[in-house]
Amino acid sequence: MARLLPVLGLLLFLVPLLGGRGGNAQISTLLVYLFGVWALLIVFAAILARQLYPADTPDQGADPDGGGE
Amino acid sequence: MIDFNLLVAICILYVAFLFLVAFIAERRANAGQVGWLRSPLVYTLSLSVYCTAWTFYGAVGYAARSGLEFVTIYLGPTLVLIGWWWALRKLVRIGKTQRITSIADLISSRYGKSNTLGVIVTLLAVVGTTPYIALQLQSVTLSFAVFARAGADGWPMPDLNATALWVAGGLAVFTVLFGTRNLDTNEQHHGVVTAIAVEAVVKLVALLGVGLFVVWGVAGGIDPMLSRISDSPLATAPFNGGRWVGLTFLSAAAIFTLPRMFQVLVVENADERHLATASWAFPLYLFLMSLFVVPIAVIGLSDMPAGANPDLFVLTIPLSLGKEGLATLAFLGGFSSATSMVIVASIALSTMVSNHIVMPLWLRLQGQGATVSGDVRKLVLRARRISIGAVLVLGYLYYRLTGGSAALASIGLISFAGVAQVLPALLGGLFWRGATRRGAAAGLLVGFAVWLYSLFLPSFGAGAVLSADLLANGPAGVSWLRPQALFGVTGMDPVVHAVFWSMVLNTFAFFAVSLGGFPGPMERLQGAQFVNVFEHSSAARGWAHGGAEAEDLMMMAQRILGPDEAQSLFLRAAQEQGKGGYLPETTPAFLERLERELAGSVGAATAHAMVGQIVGRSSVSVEDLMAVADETAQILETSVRLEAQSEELSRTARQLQEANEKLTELSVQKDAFLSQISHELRTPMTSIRAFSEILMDADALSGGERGKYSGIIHDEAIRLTRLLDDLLDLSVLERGQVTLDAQEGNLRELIDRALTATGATEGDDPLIIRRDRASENMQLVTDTDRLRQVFINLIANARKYCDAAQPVLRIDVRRQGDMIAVDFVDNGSGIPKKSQAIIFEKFSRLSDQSSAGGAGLGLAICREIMANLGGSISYLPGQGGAAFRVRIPLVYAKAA
Repeated sequence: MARLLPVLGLLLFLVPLLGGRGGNAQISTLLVYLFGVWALLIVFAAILARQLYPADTPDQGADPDGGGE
Repeated sequence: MIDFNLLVAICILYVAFLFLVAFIAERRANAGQVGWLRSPLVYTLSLSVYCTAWTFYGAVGYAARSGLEFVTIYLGPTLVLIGWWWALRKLVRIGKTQRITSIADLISSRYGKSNTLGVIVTLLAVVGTTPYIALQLQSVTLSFAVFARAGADGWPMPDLNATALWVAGGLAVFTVLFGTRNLDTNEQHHGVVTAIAVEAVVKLVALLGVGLFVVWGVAGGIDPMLSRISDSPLATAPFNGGRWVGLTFLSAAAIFTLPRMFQVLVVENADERHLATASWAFPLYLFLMSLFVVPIAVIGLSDMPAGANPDLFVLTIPLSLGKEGLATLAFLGGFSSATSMVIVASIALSTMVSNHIVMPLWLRLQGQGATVSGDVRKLVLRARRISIGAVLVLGYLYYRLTGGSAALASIGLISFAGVAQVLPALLGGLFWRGATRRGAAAGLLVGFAVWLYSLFLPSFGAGAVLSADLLANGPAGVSWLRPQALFGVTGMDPVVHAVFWSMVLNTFAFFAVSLGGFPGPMERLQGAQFVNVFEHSSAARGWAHGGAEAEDLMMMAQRILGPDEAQSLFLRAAQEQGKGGYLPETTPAFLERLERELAGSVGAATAHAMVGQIVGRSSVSVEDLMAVADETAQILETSVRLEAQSEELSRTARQLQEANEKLTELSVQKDAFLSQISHELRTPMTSIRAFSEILMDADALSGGERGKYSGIIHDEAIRLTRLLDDLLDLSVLERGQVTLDAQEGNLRELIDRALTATGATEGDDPLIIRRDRASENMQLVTDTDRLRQVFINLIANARKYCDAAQPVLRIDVRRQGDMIAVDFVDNGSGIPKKSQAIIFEKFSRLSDQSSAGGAGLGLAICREIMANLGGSISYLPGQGGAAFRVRIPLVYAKAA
């Protein structure tokens, strides 16, 4: 799911291409659409991040010494 | 009206505030209180160096010119960030395990620690970033000019070039102060990052402030605003699908490849989990930054006089409506955006230049450089400081050359396209093990060349670098080589055209050359570690068991990491191997670890070369390659277990061997001592007997003779007593029966008194003492008499045994946590490695000269005293002479 989200985002962000040429799409509608999609993506990303690394997991980062043993 | 001087004063105050923030953060970090300095919030805010003055001023101008297209610059990063699980997570993990210092270091390290690649990427980054720095200078000067013009009461137009010069100079000072304060092993700059985070808040607040004012203060709410947008010229702005896709791609690539983004995203990352927070919080930041761009642009276009520069609407709208406070805030926001970008970019570039250009050159010039004298840390820091200056000078020159005229957005895009050339080599290196060094170099060079030819050079305008004829008809009239219509493809937007061709040709060259060649052993090792970073974080070894001298390595490491860091690294390694002292076995594992520590300071390629100079050739063994190529986990697991067992065995064997050697040595010593002590006791006894016989027998002695003879008897008796005292003292100390008398004392006075007692303070003394009296000023609670006894012993030893023509004794004092370390280092030939293990044993005397006097009990007594005081005394190898380190607790605590 974490990997699908950017793909979904890309598709949604490319939608304006479809109606672009005709110029009959209202710019204000387009504006609201883009920022709406953007906000949704942020919310989804926040939920996913919460699930992937719950707040109390120990540090998953690599040992800075790289396991020299 | 805002006075020019007031504006400058506000600027200076703001900068002083940033200095203070950076300074406090640095102080806290040094004191170990990292805490909130390394929170996900600060990390996310620091990522906002992406939003430069180009975003702050330029986005509005961009929107005014081409409508909604400006959002693509923020949509790309949003997609990359919310897709962090794909690539960013891997990048950050690799950055941490491999101690990556810059994007050039990453590429060089991935492709077999090749410095050629490091140089290529560094040059690319410098060429690509310079215009961007010029852009920041331009935006600050322009915003100054806006205030000047608005000042109807006529403060004179400031000289734009002088303003740019002042700004560049100030930024150089700030960056040098906080960016190159120390050579950190992780290349992290707490002070700078915190200041950047503060600036991020300022610019967000400023832009939101202007936005809210425009929507509710000018337009009168959301609905009127939306209808004004629909009626504005923006609604009819042409929509170019090619640019929409191309720019989204370009801005996504920029997140990976911009040197400054790499710096904050990977190098300054403290914890991988922060990335999870940033994955949504940074898009949110971008979202907020671009939310009001369109309203500001629309209002600017309709309310501002025709011909006003749309790049400056953020400033001019509030100014023209008399909101000077808001305008000043906006000015500070723009100032913040510009300064934070320049600071981080110049730090990142200076790291690259010093690690990939200066250090390799220096190493080559030095020949066997790594072991000879010279403080490498100073050299590295100086190289960085100079490169920061040079980068800013380049930016300033570019600003002067281009006349600061081009629209903000176009310079930004040219920069993006330039650094994006690293993308194929970067992503290929992360996900494809077959990628080779030659492939990466080919791709980079081709992409770089196409970018220069089709975008960068034409950007100076027809006739500036490329002639108008060449632009229109191609070189020598070959029309399919026209810079802005390669291969006869016309009608494309110039930026999209250049991005398309440079990326296609770059990627093609990268894959073709990679597939045509074969990666070398080192590249395979590194490739496997990068691509499979999550599977095996433990490193495969690139070093054969060589005859490297641990002492030489220590000397080198001290020069790069600093004495404290290097000594504790060696001490830890030796302890893990089950050895005492500071010198571990130079096993491949240890070499690998040392190299990685060094890489954190000077970059992978240089670290590899430096270790290589001492160890000899690096070799990759068959086992290593098998471990890399081997897909069956079974064999790997068994061999790992076997390896662990044999490691364990060899460690035990080493311990036994050491113990055995020590015992043998001791028994030889003891035998020697018995004859020595008999001799020592017998000589005074013989003369006492002889002279007392003379005194007894002869009555005819004169008073003078009698006095002389009894004097000799007395002296010899004292010598005997002293010897017996020492022996007694030692045995009391060893059994821990001694009563210590703890009292408060000053270390400097203690050393003073010890020096006086040994006669070192007299004028004609041959031994020269070097000390830093300021650092010695420390109060401590301990048995001062005993401690002084130790100091006296060490000073006397230096006097007796230092064999230099001009003996010099250096006394260094430093604080290590709640311990004090006092080093006594002389410039003699030192103590041979063989003897270092036994000098603290009883009765050991390295030379047989009787001139030395004592019976070899001095250091043994010192050791016992220090153990009783809760500290230690040890021999410190690799200091260019005999060196002893005395460690004393600040407060003596009686052993329970």
